[in-house]
Amino acid sequence: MTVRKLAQAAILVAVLGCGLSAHAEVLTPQARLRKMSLQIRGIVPTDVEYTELGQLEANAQEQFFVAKAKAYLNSDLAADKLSDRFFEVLRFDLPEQSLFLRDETYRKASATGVDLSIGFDKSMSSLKNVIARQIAAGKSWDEILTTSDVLFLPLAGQALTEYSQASANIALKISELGAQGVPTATVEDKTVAIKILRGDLPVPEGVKIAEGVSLTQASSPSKVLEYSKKVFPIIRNWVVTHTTFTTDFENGLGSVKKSKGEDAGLVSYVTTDVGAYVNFVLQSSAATSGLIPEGEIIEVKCLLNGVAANQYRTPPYPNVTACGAMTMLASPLLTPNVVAWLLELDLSKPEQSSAAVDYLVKSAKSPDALARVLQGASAKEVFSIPSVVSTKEFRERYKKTRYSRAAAFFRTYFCDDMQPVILIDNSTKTAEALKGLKFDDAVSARAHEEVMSMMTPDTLPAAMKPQGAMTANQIAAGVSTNAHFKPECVACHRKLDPAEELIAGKVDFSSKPLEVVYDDADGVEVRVAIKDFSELNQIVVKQDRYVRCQSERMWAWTIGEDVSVDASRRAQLTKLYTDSGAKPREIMAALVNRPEFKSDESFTQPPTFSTVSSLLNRCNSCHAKEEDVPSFTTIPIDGDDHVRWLTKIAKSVSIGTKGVGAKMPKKGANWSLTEADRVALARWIWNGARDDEGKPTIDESDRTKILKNLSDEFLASITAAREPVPSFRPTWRRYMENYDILNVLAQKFPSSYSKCATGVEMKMRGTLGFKDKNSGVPTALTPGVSTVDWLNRCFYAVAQSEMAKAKDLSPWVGVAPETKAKFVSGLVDSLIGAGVLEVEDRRDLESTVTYTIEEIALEKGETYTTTDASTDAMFTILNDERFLTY
Amino acid sequence: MTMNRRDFLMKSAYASGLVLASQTLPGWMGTAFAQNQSATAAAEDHFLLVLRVNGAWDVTMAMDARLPSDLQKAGADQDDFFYLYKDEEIVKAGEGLFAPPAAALVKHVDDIAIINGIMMMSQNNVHEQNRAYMVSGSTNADDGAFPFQLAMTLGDAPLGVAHQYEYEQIQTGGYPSMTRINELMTSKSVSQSQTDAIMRARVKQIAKINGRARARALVNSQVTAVDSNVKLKRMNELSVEFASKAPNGNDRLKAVSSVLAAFAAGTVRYAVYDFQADSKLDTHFDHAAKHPTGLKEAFDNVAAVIELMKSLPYTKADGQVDGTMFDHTTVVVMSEFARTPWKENGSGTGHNPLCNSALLFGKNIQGGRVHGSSRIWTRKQTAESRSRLQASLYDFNEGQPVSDAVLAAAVKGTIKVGACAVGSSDDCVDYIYPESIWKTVAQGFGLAQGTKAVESALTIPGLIKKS
Repeated sequence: MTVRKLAQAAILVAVLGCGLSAHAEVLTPQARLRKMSLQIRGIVPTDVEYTELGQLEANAQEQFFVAKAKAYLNSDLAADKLSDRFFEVLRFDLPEQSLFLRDETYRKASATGVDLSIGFDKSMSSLKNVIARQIAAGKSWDEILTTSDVLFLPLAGQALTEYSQASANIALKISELGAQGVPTATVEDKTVAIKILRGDLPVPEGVKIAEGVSLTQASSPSKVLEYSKKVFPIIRNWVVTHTTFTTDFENGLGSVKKSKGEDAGLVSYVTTDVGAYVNFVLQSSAATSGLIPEGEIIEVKCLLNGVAANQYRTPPYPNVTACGAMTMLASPLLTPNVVAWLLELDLSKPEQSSAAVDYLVKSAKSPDALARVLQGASAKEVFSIPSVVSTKEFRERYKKTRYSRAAAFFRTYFCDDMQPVILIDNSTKTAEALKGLKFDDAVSARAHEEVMSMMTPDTLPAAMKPQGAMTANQIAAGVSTNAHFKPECVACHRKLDPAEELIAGKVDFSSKPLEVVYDDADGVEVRVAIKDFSELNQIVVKQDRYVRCQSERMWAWTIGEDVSVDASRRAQLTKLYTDSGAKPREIMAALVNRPEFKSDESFTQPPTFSTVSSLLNRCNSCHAKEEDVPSFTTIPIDGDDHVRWLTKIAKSVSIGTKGVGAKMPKKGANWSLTEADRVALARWIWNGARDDEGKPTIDESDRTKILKNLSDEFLASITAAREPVPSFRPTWRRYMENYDILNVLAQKFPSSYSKCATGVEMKMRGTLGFKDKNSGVPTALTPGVSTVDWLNRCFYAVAQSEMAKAKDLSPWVGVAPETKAKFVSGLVDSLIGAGVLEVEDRRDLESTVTYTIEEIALEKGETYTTTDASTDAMFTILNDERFLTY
Repeated sequence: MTMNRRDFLMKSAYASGLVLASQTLPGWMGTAFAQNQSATAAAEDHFLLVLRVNGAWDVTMAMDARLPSDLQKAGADQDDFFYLYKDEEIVKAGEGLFAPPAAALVKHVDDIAIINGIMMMSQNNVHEQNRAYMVSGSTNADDGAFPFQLAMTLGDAPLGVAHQYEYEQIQTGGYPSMTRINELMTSKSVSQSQTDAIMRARVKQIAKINGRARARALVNSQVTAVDSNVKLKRMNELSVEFASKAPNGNDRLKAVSSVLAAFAAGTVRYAVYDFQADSKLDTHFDHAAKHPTGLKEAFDNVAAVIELMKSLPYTKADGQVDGTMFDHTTVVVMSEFARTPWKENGSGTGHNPLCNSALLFGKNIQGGRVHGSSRIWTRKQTAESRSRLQASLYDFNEGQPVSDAVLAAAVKGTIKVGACAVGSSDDCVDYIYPESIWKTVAQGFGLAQGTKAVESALTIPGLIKKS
């Protein structure tokens, strides 16, 4: 660094007071409530809540916040939002769901301002719902992550769904019979019919479904019922749960029926030749003419796969490939006893539905039932680790390589971000491409001589000397190095390999225990011996790294990942996590009432090591097993060599030159530093490379050595006061993410929100803060340009619709100034919340809105109506950062 | 290049997100562009357009043609090389041989640099992955398409990188600012005139605000004296004007014209566009009938792009005309890989990641040159007993393909190839990989070391004009 730059920096530092003297922002009580509500539930508080809060004294306000946090966290919406977080941890795509709110009853209730409890989909049809259900039930985070319930709950849900579908279909068919003149069946008759349909009872001759009508006497539509006891259970279940093909099934078997007689033909066809049946459907005129949707054809193919594997899955199937992944079957849970019991329940009642699920989970866990649901597969193979790792969803998500699940395990449980490293140098890549080529022997020999006559091995340029690198011939001969001996590979595979064996159920514990390997937060290797598959979960939750990982996740979700967790905060956080029994709702209730939640004062503190530790830990992930490289997460790094290593790190990542010329991470390491990473690292060093307790580990002269030749611009960026920057990441200030903004629109404008809802769900995901499942972060950290078009249309349509309700075609120019001011003020209160904005911000926003509409009024004159102005005012507020962030 | 105050203000105006082609940008967009402010303001009148011809082109039917008589001499028969043309149909122009589907390029040969013999992912023949590699010069999923890399390194214009992929997710490399090409068109939504009015009012209003505590307001306050709408309007006007010079009914050219209009108006500096649909060239069946048609359409359009660019004057900020868009825009035309020389499915051809070609023209490109080469290996010359069209090794010091002797020595393992260190004085023999193209292009944009993703690549001598 030149003298001039040092002087500039010194001035800057003096001016900024070490670059950290920014005025801390403390949220207004209403802003705090809005932030709490959006963060926990993804919707905003009601006007009533704002008013109530505004009327309280300071002390009472704190009690109010404690109560509100609890109430918000106990809502179903909070469970749903937390399950979103869980999915993001697992790097699953959030399920597509209908905009905006996930429950129609909520919209109706909220329109009246009465009921804020919203029900998520409790059908248990997906892992997402299972997680939400467990959170809603008050389970601990450890239980959710590490118990087998997550495996059995979907199974129970699936069984229940299957039961309900069959039940509904049979009821429908009986009703159809009624429509054909057959008297409606009695409840008792339905019960019998369902049992028969499920194959739980043989069809007794002459069973009556209505007075004078027995099953064997029923007309054509009841053929499925009639023969249900005889057909292959998979086909039977499928047919009764799927109405599309029923007609084909019943009417399209003409040739077989003719040859064997109607009854025998049907039975024969279905029971002896499933493949022919499926082919019949696929080749039917309806299929070839496109009348049968592609999705349903896939289902049929899926069915065939299921038949081949002796499995049954409840449709719909996302794709054919997914059919093969089914490992547990729900149908065997529906034994005659269970069905008989279910028949006694009213599943529309939540408590009875819950009881049914709990019963099914319990019964599924019994060895007998387990054997049935696994259909002969080994439990060890299916869920070696009885936790989320063994779920169907996890297995399907992480199947790219045999190590994928193990890597995801480390990321999920230990925040150890395993990254595949494929360091292929050009010589290997090029030799691969040359592999398999051959010149004629004579040509080859001549060429060899020609080259060697020009150059001997001694005179060959270094780059062309073959020793040390694989030649094409070596590769062709299959000579290769064992990848796991390379330090950068061993760094991960020492951890991955045992975990992979465990997850794949390959470990034979009868001979010896297995050592599970992980690194603690300081990068020090830890080895834990386990004696059985089931032991892993119990051990994992006791590890400091696990507790730190999970608790800091909750800190990030609640307080913000940009608020560093220093040693003191970590101690408190760990205590909170353990004292609360790892219950996420209790932990978050405590966190939202911490000072860091409502004030950004921590941004004015010098950054400690925790602001860069996760970044440096990524360096460890490759270098951990290099003999001459220390752990980068132990401060000071390599003891007395701390400054030398910091200098080396700064240089190798080209800290001040946007990474251009960087030697690290190596090409092929599959990750690179962002400019924000480089700024964070430089800022930490500039501020003394403080350890976790905030003590500087370098002095100013060290800093000068480490951060050489920085541009004025970069220097300014690292010394400037740090302020919260809103983003789609879990930062202290953040943009409404995922479905939040849409939910809020629905909450505020229940009759207008649908103006911008059509067909946009998936398109918007990338830019509305949905996390990319590969990287775990949103594609854009802030709303991108491509979001704007849609949001503008959406906001404008909503504004137009809302303001058109009170149509006022009088010219805006004629409205009295005080009326205009009152209108704008009321609109701000209505859209953002009374009292949410600080005085200055509120004045600024009102001024913005007023100026905007007055400018337009000036341009348009008397044609600019009060409704136009209202619409534009609303549009302007909705587009403002103060509405979009919290 | 240093920025004067006016430049800075104008960049800030755009950085604050106040301008967008077909909609209003709210103030909160500012953060999306905040990082651009600090980027080096280099090459502001130098644009990059990447045209992707998807589906995998048969380079031997285009810019890497063969004389059948030469092939026969080399011992290749019809089973080795599924070829349609006669010697007399192949046109030699400049340093290149052109087959009939690429005939439209011939008259522009002096403007075009051809790179033949590009090695792709030799062990991976998936369209999308090779396409991603070709457009980025990197097999690292974190690295964006090259226009995004350039934007990240040099900074860009207010609408970010213009892009339009046929179906894949755009590779941004984490760069946040981008606009779809069809949004550059002048077609407006119903509420357009109204949102425009709001935008104009907002710009004026923000211009009046002075010093506020928050960074967002700071950025906004710097737009004083800048009428951000001017360039937006300019882009819309140019878009109409440029589109009028594009062939009627040609949507591809219309889209390109809108990109050129955005370049000329200063709202976009880098763009990537899927210029040809995947289905038109991926001829696994009926190659002889279908592939030439698809290729001809692509190359006719490429020629039309050259003509269009040359017909459009480039007007500088001071109103002076400074050459044409051709003089200010570097264009790279690419596909994901070539096709197999042997027949697949009886009448088609398969994916061939062992070879590829690219065309470059426009600013800083030395036209009339062919770099690199490919070679037909007969089925007797390969371990798999099936012929190959494969890139040839390239001597990066000499700027030409290696001799047979060196190639044979490399195949035999007598010499090691592909381990050239950047800046090494040793002889550097390796394949031309996509990263070499992009690093060389980056140098044309004043980035001596290239972008981070391609900085370790070797550069192709003679591709960039000597200044």
